[in-house]
Amino acid sequence: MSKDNFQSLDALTDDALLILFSNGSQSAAQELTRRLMPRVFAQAYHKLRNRSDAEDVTQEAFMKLWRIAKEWKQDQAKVSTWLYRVVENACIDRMRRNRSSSAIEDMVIEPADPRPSAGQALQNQSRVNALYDAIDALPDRQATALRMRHLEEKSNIEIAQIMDLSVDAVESLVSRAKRTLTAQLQGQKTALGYQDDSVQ
Amino acid sequence: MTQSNKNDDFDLDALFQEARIGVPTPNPALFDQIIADAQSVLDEPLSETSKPVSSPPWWRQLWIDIGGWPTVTGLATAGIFGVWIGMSSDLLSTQTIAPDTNTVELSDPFSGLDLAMLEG
Repeated sequence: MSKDNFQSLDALTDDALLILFSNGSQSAAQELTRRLMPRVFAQAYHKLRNRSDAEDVTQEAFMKLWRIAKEWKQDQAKVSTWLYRVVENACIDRMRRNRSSSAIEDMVIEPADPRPSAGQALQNQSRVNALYDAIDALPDRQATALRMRHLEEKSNIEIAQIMDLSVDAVESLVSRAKRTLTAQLQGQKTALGYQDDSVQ
Repeated sequence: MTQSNKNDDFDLDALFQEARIGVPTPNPALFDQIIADAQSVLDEPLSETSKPVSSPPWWRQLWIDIGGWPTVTGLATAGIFGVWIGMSSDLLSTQTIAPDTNTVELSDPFSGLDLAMLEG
């Protein structure tokens, strides 16, 4: 792909790229993948806590996107919103099929961001695991809103569009979720080693 | 970006940040696999939904053209009614001249239609 072509594709919306792809442009597919894959993968990873499963879900989601491209209408949902829902459902399906301890083991085995010491890395990982566990224990809508807001860093407006809620309702969901999380994790502070470092 | 919970005993935002940093990088091969999938979809022949809809068989088309069940029902009713008129025509002779009298009886050959006319 030439640099000029890449730059011109970069300026297009996701919708336009998808339509371009349906007309046979592989460059459009590359640009869409480059643009959306990190977000899709992160979403799947936060939900599944397993790199391999997250990669599978990401690939499945994109396959569905390519297949729907020919029928895509620009006035329907945004591509990113559509993809978010597809990934969410795919993750739920996978969790039902594959609910086991392997995900947590996998996460401990391959820390993504190695810290200076193995002990520190394990402690950080334990904290993150505790956070994920606490999020999983939240009511579904609170957990979904909180993941989008604080793990995927989406705006409240984006979340409202994806969840078909008002912005106020999203803020309320996130706020309640954070209160519950704080209360839950507060009790585990010592176990998670917060006395030992500067996170507190 | 998220606001720090200064008043919370437990710093959730720091923990969220740890979780965000902890997301691994996907395998570089994933990008290539996704692009290969895209190419395979582009290479596929027309899907079932994209194929032109085939026309119905001739008898079905004829059935549609003549109007379907409502038309056939109407035709059947008219046919039965015609047979009934034919059968009753002997009783409704237009003119009967009795051989042994000089009187002439006139009768309405379509008297049987009176009821039909009322039915609209």
